[in-house]
Amino acid sequence: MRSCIFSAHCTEPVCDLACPSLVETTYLLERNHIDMQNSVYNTSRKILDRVCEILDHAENKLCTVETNDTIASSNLLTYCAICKHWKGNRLHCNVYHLNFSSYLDNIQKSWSAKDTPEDLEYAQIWSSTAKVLIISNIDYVQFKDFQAQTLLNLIHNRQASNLTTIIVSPKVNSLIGSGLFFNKLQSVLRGAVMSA
Amino acid sequence: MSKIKFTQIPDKFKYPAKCKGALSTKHSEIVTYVVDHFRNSIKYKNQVITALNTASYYAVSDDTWPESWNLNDPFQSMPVVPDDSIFDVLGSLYLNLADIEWDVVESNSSIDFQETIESTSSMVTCKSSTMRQATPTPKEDLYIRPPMIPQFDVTKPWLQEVVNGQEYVIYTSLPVIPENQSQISVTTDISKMKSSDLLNLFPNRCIHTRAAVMYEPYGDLAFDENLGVIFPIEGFTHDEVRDNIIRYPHLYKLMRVVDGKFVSFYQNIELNGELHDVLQVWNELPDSKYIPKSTEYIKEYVVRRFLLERDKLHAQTKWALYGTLEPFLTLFMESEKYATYGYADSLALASQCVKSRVSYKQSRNPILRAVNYAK
Repeated sequence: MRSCIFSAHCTEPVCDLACPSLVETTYLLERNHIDMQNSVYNTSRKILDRVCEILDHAENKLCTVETNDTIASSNLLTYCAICKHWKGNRLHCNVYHLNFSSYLDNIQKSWSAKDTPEDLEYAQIWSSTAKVLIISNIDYVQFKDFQAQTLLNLIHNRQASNLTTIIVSPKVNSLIGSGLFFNKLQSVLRGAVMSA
Repeated sequence: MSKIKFTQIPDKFKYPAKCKGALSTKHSEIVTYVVDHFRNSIKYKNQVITALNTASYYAVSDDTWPESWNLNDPFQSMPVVPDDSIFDVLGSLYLNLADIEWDVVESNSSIDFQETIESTSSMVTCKSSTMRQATPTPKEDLYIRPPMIPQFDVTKPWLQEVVNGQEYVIYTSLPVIPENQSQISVTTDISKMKSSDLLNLFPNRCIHTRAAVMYEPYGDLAFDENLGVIFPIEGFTHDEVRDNIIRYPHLYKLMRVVDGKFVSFYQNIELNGELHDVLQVWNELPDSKYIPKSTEYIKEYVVRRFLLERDKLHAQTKWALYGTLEPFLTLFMESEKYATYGYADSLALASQCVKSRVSYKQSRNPILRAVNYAK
């Protein structure tokens, strides 16, 4: 069973394990694979303030966050985004963390499958509609035209809808790839690097 | 809404015709102050947006402008109006951070606030190149509701019980030593807090915790610039009511149990052992001729009268408050200001604040109640 993240502060009259706070946060945490052992629950206030600033700054636009540990940083951004946006989500996946390298693998595997796998379909839906999308693991990708185009399309479509997209990456210059689309991608990411 | 340059707000903002002149003047004063004191941080910008929206709220809603709010220093005594209320009143006039193009630069008079994303081995962090100026305590630090981003130690379950076949767990909340009042939870252990930790709980400014209308003078009712309106309650002196406001500055979601159901405490008033709908008996109450018949005043009157009867007269009531409500649950001003009101022992106040908060949350926490009930 997943514990409620608000349990130590809760003053609801009754805990029936079905109140909106528990159900909606649990749904989003599970969707984004943040289990109770994750380090996001034990972070200093200074860092949390900084992550909230990044989320505020990135609202309705593209933002690139450069960091060495992309996994921990993207998890923390996802957790904070969930805490800021869970209220009233009515079990829609309005915060989604996309593992881009796995996403590409799934797309490529689907080419030889008869039907599009369900997991991939959901990933495509949530990536295009989530209010806040955090994209990680681009440092595990060797960018050629297809990979770069896929990411550029995703970014472009979300920008056209004024949705928040946060790319968590090591230094953009250190990404691996080649070709015109890769150059374009690097230029787009570099232009959105978050500075205070 | 397309982006609007910050310095052009007084000229370009689409003001409603009925309050265009007055509101643009207020906004202009805020803009002037910010241009001189600008800091390039999201926190500061959010504060500016709140000030602009709060000013719009008073103008659009025709509410009386709070006299204590001086726009020469707009963040000093800015009234606290819930964001939801502001949004409801302003609708499309509500300004968001994303609506503003910040065509201002950090002023020389403000402290350098350069922050960079520092790549570390573990996560995104920030680094200040110089000491930060002490920022005004945000009102969120005083909230009783849970922090927006809860933190806890999953290796330290504070309570783990099975009730009716269902496992409940409460982990020790973090930080173990609360850095502000809102971080105090059912698991907070005051014995681990040093004197300096306790004193750290005081805000560094006076924060208005009562409803906004309470900070506007009304007729002949007594008024204190830090406490707001002090209305009469028959049977108690002015000083007793004033002291009650100091001890209980924030009345939040109070309930009582009537016929096995939770009902809002303010909905009814207990008179001579009988519970009455407060609106039905309001005109018969001796103090009602002095106090405006508005929701916020009625709410406060019902609770303060109950608290005074409980604390001063030790009156027993049939329909008591659900959960505890002990004094100094919220410390709303600097320790020095408390001293001017006769509360000079800051440590005792801060200690009481922690005890009251822990008690408030423990007495209401549904898991603890279920576990205790099952025993």
